[in-house]
Amino acid sequence: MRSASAEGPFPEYAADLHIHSVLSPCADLEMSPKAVVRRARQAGLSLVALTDHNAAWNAPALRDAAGEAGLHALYGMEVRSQEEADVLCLFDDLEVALAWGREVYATLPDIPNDPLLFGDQVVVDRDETILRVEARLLINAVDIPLGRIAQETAARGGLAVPVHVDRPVNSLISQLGFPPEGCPFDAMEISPFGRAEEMRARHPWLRGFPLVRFSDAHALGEVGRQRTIFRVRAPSIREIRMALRGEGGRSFR
Amino acid sequence: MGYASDLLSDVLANARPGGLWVTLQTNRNVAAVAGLQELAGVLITGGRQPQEDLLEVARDQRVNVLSTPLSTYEVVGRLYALGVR
Repeated sequence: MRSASAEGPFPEYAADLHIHSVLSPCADLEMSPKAVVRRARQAGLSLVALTDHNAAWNAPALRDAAGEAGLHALYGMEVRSQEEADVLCLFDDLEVALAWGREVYATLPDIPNDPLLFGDQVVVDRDETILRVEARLLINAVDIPLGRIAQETAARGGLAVPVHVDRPVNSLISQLGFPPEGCPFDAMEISPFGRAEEMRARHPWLRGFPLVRFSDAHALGEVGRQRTIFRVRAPSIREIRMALRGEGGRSFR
Repeated sequence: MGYASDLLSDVLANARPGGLWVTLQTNRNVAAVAGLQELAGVLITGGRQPQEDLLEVARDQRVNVLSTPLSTYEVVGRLYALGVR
């Protein structure tokens, strides 16, 4: 990265902040944090996050693996709200992310996973050593409404981004139609299939939100297939929020 | 026995084994949840077609998959009147 002056222009960070790891039952077993980091570097990314369903147990391994590889990382998860709408909760503080993960997990119904039906849910370390297998089915809805997930995330200094809003399943649009009044969402994510202008035409309220694109990778080859470039002083939540709002010379594309 | 719901989390929490699940959802997880809950079958409404991977999982799990052009409301009304409670 080239160094930046106090006012900019700031460096660019190519970010993919919606990636699943081996902890999500629907993700490939090859998606260890170490492998994701390697693939992210190959794909020219400089900032990643692992956003597993309703859990952040592989975030510590991401911190370690990313640190070793000189890649930046944010920490969080993809929470499935009570209404079954999925939303990214992203933090730059690992402990805050883990604490929110514990709160979310506490409201996840205690239904055991069946790995043959849903896939494996594995917690690993930086070297891909299996630490434990998560027994509770993660691909379920937690008992927290979408609006409150957004509020709690914001209160903890994180970013809340409803995912693939253009998709007909598990999206804010499919489940709620439009965002409840006053929800502190920082951006809306659209999928590789989504066309921004068409979405804005059909859902005028979308014009009030920055639109971002990430991969939603469930396999290594998908990492970085969509990305958002943030022009910020540093890859922190505070800076990214400024970029999303176009404040202080920060921007995104 | 019947249960009508489009939220998989709701079915996981409340549907009883051996029941018929009525939904408009067509994705693979519908069959996975039906298998987990040991449901008799899934009835997909509104003329929607199950996705191919739903059928694959349903075959593995021996879950019956039915469809109807009727809406959920109408087909549930008819089933209930026929004594499917």
